[in-house]
Amino acid sequence: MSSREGALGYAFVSPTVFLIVALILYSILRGIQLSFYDIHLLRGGEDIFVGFQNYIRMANDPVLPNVILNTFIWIAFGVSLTVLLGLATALFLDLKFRARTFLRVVILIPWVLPDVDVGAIWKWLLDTQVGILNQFLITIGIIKNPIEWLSSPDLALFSVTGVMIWRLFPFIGLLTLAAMQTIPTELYEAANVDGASRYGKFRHITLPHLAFTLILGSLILTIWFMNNFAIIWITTGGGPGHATDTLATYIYKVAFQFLRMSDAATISVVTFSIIGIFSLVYLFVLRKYWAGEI
Amino acid sequence: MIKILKIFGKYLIVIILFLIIFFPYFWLFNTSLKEFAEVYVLPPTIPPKKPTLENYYNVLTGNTAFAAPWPTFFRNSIIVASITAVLTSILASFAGYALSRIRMPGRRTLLFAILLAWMFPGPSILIPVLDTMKKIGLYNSLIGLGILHTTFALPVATWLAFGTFRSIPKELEEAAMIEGASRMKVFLRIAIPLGRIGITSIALLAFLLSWTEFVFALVLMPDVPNKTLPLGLVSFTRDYTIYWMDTGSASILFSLPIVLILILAEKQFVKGMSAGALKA
Repeated sequence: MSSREGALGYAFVSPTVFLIVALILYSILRGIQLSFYDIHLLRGGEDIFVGFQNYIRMANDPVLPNVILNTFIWIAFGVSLTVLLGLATALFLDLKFRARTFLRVVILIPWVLPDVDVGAIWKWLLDTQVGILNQFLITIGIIKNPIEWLSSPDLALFSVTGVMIWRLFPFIGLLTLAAMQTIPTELYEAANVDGASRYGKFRHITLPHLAFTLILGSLILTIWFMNNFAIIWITTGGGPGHATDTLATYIYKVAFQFLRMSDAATISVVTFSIIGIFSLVYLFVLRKYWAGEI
Repeated sequence: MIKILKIFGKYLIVIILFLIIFFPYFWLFNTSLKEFAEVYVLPPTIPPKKPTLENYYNVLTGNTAFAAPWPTFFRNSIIVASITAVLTSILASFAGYALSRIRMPGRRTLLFAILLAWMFPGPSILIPVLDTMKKIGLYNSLIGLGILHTTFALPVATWLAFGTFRSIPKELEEAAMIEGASRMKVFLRIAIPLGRIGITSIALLAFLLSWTEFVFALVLMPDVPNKTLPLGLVSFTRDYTIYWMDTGSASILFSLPIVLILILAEKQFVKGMSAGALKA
């Protein structure tokens, strides 16, 4: 009986597992394999084994260090500010005020909008000449000359990071708010009896309870930032020059614009290795978080 | 006095937060109602001097300034997203049910391995996926893209289904099985109907994932008659002259189903979107 049940269980799971293995796991393995070949994906014909040549070429790619630095800045600034803003938003939405329920729904808008919409919205808003943001800042007298939000090599990366933060802080906000609401009120009441300050309560009750949520949230954000292509692609296309290229956009460019398929495959291996490390940390934390619940 | 200041401060934050969240979307909407002549007028006009729905009409009929077959894109997106929604909700229901109800060795490992697969879909597997899709004949195919999107949706969908079935009391199923009903019958006749709300949000989630997916569609759909909406939209913003009233109305139309679902089914939506992140 029970072994037949088990077999049925595997049968139920198998289509899902099959697709994941065939299209995701296999892609990772195939990606590693391709990085050792001269790939003829676009031209047709045979792939030629070239050993570590692709890796040697990658090490000498003059643009790549800059792209990696961009990716690091994009993730470091993006994730930390998204989490801080999300936490601040959650603390604020936990207060009592009119329109709170309304705001909790509206706040979801940036998060549910398609990436391509987010990109289009901000490309229009941040346009140097006719963008409303520059118009507004000039009108109220903060700046005299329009700021090149998306076309200045020094500023563009921070602007696109800002767009991504705008898109994701509501997600962290709501996740954190949900976690805050599971904190037993008795803890705060006891702290009140002891005469704890508002900061003391935040530091010693709220924050420890949110630790797991914030850590898991940061890890997911890291992976989302790592994988995001559309927002940078639409707002700046990775430019000016390579100023806003991250690993995600650079892989696409190398493969489909510069038509250096093998080089792109090699950079892909580096990229999904980084994603793999963060994913394993994520799973490790998640298992701890649930500690036997499943 | 201090109290009044505090209340004032609170509502000031409410207003600022609201503007930060809502204004960018609203601004594109505002532009989408303008005639071309008014789009680049400085200072910008709110509301438009001569508001018009013409841009929406042009997008829906495919007569935009930067020519693009919008009705075709729209149809393709509907097809791909529907395939994804149907396939994902069926496969995830089976998998999620088995993982929550049936004892089998390696169940926990399987559950976490499936979640791990959630992290990888992105540009870093673009090239091998393209290679595979070409080999199995699913390149440049709407069904192929639907199957790929299904695969990308399955990890989170399976976790959602797992959570859904786990939260249903199993007494009913156990009683039915004691009376001789098979596991399959119990699954189809009892568990599925009881889990229908969760399964609906899985379908919704999968639909949206596919509806908005960009980079794989970009690489796997080279022919215009097979392109989906995000590709059409982006081709607009990559041109030197951007007709923002067209881009605006196309973007608004594109996001409209999502915003409507958000307003109508906020709770389900939030649960679906944050699934896998923390709680199943």
